[in-house]
Amino acid sequence: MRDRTAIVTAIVAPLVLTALMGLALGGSQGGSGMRLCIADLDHSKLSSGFVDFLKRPALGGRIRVEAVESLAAAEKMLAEHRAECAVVMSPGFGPAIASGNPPPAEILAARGEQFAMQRTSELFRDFIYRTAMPPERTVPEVNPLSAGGQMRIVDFFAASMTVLFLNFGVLSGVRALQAEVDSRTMVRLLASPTAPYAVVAGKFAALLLIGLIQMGTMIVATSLMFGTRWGNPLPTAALAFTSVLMAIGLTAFLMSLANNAEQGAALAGMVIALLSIVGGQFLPPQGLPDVFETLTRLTPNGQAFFGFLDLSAAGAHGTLMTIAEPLAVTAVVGLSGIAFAGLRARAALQRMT
Amino acid sequence: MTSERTKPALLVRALRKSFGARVAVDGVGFTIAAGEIYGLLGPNGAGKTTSISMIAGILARDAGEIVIDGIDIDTGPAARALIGIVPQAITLYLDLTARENLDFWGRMYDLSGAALHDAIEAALDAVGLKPRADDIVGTYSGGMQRRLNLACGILHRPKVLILDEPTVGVDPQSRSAIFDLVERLRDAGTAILYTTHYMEEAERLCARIGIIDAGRLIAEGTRDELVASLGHDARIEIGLGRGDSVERAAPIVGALEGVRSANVENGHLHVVADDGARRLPAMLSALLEAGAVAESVHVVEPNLEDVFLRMTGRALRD
Repeated sequence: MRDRTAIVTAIVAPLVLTALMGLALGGSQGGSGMRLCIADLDHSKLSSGFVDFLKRPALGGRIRVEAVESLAAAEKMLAEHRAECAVVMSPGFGPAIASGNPPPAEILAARGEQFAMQRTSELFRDFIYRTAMPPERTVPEVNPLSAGGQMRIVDFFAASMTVLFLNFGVLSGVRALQAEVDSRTMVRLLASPTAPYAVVAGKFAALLLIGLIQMGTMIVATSLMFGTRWGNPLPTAALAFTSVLMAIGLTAFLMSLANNAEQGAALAGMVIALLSIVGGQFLPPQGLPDVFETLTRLTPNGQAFFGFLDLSAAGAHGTLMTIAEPLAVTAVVGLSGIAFAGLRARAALQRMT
Repeated sequence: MTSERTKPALLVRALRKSFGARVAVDGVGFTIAAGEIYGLLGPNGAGKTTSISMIAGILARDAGEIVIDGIDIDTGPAARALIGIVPQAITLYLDLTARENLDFWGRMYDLSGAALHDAIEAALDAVGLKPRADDIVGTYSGGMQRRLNLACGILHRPKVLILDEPTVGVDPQSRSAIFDLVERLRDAGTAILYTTHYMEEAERLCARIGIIDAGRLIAEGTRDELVASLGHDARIEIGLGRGDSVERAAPIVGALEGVRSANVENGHLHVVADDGARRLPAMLSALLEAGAVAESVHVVEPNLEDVFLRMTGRALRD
């Protein structure tokens, strides 16, 4: 714990960024941030049901709804920034839904409120989905960014920053390990009476511990500070474990491609940043072209990240099966990277002796 | 029958190691008694580090035998616990204090509790770092770090201590402190394997010296034995007065009986002669007859550097 930089990287930075992102994009204070303006020009049972949908207990009162009488009134509210978004349901809305046709509705957003607009769109789609469903299918499939509208911006960033900084936090440990190889400290350790496998196992256990402490601290801290819902504890813990494995394997693999710890850290830093962008940790891919969502699922960090979002969205219903793919991908990537880096380190140590 | 008194602290016999087709160590063997410092000298790439790595149990050997105080190195931890190794590289944790570093290395050598505490205090005392024991090692000078590096190797009171270039890059004060400590360890009965590029260190500290080249131990003995192996050759440097014809002096001296070579270098006549001191009057007379006056004469006795150069064809620092 002497390395303050590592503590900042592992704990402080992701918490601060989560808070800042949440505040900047709304929804960090118990979800009270989003103000939604509703113009119900249809006055049908279905259109008025949308307001009830937004006020249901599951949303925890985080959507503040204000009804207006016209499109112009809604636009005025947005222009004056008295609401982030507006939903305008035109006449014929109810019958269109009842007949399975696209409903005449429009979602508007105030300037700079793209995220709120996306969230509103998700809520609106979710409402239509639920309303149009037959009664026996009341529990929809989990969609991380809708899930009954329970996913908040701060939840999104809690998961994204945790996965992002997990890689950086573990990287500092892997870098220290590589520095031990570079400085021949590892060779000296292997000359001690302590069995070589115990030395290696001890180093690996230390990395694992660093990652798990970081994950645990982030999960507890964001839960307490921001009310982040991480989902069912058992699968969350399982994914946290494989995510740490993934972070160790990924950073160790990248480190092993370089000539020394400094080069390795620079290379790993760049690749982690790139993977984080592709992996959707800065912007949700749902708002981007479809190719981004595909790319996201191709990155191990993206798998971990969306695994956590899936668990968060599923709440108490989340199981290991909910995150079977992220669990498998992160574990395989982690173990493969560790094996590759281990072989490279072994060859390097042999060259030194 | 080998008695307990004569049993070597380190026995290395017919050590061999190849990397592919390249033979790195070929039949190296030597012994070191308790309380003896043995210098292992060799140019870079000669096989010193490979030999040390095998002796320390880090590198598997292809053939040969290594016995530490009667215990075969293949025994593993029991044998390795008898060895202390101080590598040339500084293998310390720079963000920890000296005491924390020693604590860590002590635990790696199965020390704990009061034994560990006492060992740390003794090691700090031995290297003179007690006043700075709780400072972060990253704030230490290079010499202090090297002393601590040494302390980590002697913490568990090894029977055999391997010192690989322990004074590289240190200030004279730290070098002197390291010499004193090495001599104290020797006097306390530790067998020490010492590698260095500094000939004066080997001459001062080592009771016996082995010269390794191309993976083979090509000479071994005390300093005097090795020097004597060169025969009675002596190097004589004669400084000639201004105006004298140095070029004319060289063939005159070179023609004298017993003179092996006479060359001019930087205005000085460099002569190698058999039993050089006895030949000196004849050389000076010959120069005088030729009209050259010797202004200075320096007879250089052969030393380890000459031995090394003769045997390996390279200077020790090459």
